Amino acid sequence: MTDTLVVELPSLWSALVDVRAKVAQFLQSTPEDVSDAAVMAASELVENAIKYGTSGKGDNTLQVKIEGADLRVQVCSRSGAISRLDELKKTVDEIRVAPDIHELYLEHMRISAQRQSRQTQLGLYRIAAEGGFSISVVDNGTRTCVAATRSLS
Amino acid sequence: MNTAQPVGLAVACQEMVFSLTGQGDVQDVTALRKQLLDIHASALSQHARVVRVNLADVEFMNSTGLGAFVSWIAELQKVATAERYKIELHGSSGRRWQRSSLHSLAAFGPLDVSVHFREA
Repeated sequence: MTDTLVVELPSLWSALVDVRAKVAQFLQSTPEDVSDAAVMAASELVENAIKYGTSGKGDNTLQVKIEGADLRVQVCSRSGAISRLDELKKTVDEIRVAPDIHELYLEHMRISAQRQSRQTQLGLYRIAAEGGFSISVVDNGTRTCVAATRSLS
Repeated sequence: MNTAQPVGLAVACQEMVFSLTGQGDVQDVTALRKQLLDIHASALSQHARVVRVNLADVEFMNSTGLGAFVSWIAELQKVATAERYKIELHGSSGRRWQRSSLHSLAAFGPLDVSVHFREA
């Protein structure tokens, strides 16, 4: 098995089923819980790129990579609005310093229930809490890459 | 005097059951949230004790879909304890996303939500 899966980001919501199938296929020889977590993380990250209109043709990809004892799920897409990037960085920082990621996830569930908006904004918290990933974001002005990393065991 | 006593009939639906199927790539939480809140209103008006949700055939659910369930549980938590029903989430052990996500919902509503798995 190669150690990297690269999938061009779809712009259609209906393509998420295929994205999940490809990630599951790629990780079929890893432990079930790792593979499940990666499928969920990839789906949430790709969905965000579609949702915020930053996916589509070009150098916009989902990359799933095994690096030694770690697994990295990364989505790189066209940079969106600055306000969106600021929000993303704030969320990533909040997750990074959280003493208890599960409690933070529950807190954002409570916030989402009170907000009653069209979007729940729970995806990154879910990736960290349910998937056991740490999350980072890098933006070079034209592309934003969001990476979720965890150990393979 | 022979006065007829009113018969104290109360009709209670003890259990409501519904199923969701398919891919839960929910784009906008509004529609699913409304469906679940309609079920909530119906369960309260019928004095249901349990609402059983069969999710065994839901292949995946995104965080937006989970958010609709969160809204439902939060609504239930606003109801006086004695008036509340229980939410039972029934999944399949073969749908592996459910193991963590349904337990997250149960953690959000520990007194109101329970999770049950059937073998795939």
